[in-house]
Amino acid sequence: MNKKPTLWIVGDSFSQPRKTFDRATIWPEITAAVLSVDLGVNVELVNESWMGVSQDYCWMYLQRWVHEGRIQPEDYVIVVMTHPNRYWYLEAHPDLSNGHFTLDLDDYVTADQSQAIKLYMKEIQRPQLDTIQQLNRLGWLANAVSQYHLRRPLMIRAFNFDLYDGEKYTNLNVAQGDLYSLQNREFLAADQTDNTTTRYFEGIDPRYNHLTLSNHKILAGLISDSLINDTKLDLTQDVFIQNIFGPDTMQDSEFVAGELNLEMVAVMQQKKDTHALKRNLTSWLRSAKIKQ
Amino acid sequence: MNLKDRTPGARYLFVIGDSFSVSPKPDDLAQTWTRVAAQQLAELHGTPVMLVNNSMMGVSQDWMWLTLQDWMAEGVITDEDYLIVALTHPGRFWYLERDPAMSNSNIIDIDRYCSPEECKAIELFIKHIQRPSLDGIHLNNRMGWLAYQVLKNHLQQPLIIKGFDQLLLDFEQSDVLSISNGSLCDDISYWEFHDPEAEIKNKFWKGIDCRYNHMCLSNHEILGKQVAESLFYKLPLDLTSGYQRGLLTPNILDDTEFCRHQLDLNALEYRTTQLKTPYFKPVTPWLKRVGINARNTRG
Repeated sequence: MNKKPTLWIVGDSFSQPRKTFDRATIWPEITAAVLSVDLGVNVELVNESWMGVSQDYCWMYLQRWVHEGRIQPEDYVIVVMTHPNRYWYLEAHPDLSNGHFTLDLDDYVTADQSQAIKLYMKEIQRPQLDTIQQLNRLGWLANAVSQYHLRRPLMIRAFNFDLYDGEKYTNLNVAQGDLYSLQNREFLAADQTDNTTTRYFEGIDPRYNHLTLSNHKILAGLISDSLINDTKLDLTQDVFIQNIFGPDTMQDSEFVAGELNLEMVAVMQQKKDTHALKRNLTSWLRSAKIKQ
Repeated sequence: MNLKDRTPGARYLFVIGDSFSVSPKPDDLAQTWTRVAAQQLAELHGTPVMLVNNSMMGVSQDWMWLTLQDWMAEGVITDEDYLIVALTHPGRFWYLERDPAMSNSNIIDIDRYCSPEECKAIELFIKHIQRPSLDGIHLNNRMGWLAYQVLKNHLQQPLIIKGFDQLLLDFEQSDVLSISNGSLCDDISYWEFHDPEAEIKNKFWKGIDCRYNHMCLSNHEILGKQVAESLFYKLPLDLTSGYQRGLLTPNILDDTEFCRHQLDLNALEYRTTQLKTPYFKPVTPWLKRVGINARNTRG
């Protein structure tokens, strides 16, 4: 091996880097470390994931890296695929791509921009268009693998959605399962619904990348194996820690200290008592009567 | 088009695109460039070449790619077939599912075809959301998807004919896709006017272009032959030279012989009727009426 390999990651909140002053070790870093040990060379990590971004934002980075020849055949690529219905509305706000904003969109953008986004979602956006564009993205990446002789990127779905024909693109290593379902399994079985995290954490998930740190380690181990051996990653298997969040879990200080993001735990506790959460804000999506 | 509909022993020429490649009405036998290309390919091969032309006036690239995705998923294009993509402007957007032909904000009366809310959504999308950088990411993805289909399905190199000038980034020099040098609008259609600047001000056609695919039939013949040779011999297609220029002189529409040989006579008759109606008057384009300072509205 002539050059030290790099691990390139794009994605959303399921893979975004921790803050620089935070000393927790999360799955992208553990993966790079495991790869370094297994390959016997230092694997550099470049992680451009960001909470709330769209697939287009991720592909902007992938296209740039490929165009500039930065991704080399010995490198590894992980794409945490966020939901295809997210849209990069405003260039300056790539993290405002998600229709399920819990707070008022108008706090972040001008009235005209807000109206543009709401009307796009109501009148123009539809699954058909999202699917056409997602398939094009997958095709672009699969072609780049052939054109530049790259390793097969590992495609990890953040949410449970269909890749349609993209599932059959042999140039892509598509993982089984999705990260949203994986994080949901951390709750007690009886509590696993679509809004479990909201009910438990009131809008502020204190977990790093929506997972407890124990599962970060397990996930990183499986991802490293998948990257090195070019095998399918299975997120549905029973090796993850499950059913660990119950109604009293946040009172367990040892668990909180070992598994969660303490800064976010503090923010969550603080905000629980604030007016903002007490008034039970209706998401703008609901107030604008947008059905997704 | 289904696999079962294929004529045994025949090759197929698949075409997808916008008004630059749309077929004439079935009873109109005009020798448009797509028909000429299919005939020339049949002559070169000595076997039939069937034309499947799914182009539609005014559509966006997304609509075209949906058709391509359907064709690829159904496996209707074989390794013996040809594929032409007449690539429309990347700034067009498939706003409303029911009306793929309404992707172009330059349509002067777009507000006749959609509700006030839909119109407002389109207006604000163009003003606040659409931008060349996003269109560029999507365009690159489309090209990559098509290139991957060619590799995966062992297809012949598709011919990408630019309808409008646009940069295909890493795919301009692709070994997998054959990209035209020049565009149909900027290198053929535009130069057919004796005074191209006058047409930019809409003075010649007054909004109703009576040419098939925005080109005179002499240039259809040249283009059709060039396209067939490009596909058959795997040669680059050059749209920047060899085409007739300056055909549309100020009084040329009075020349019935010219009109008969070069133009769509049905469209010409329609135009004449329209211009004579007392209530025909130029409409201020929707774009101007809603105050769009367009960054992406070409096409």
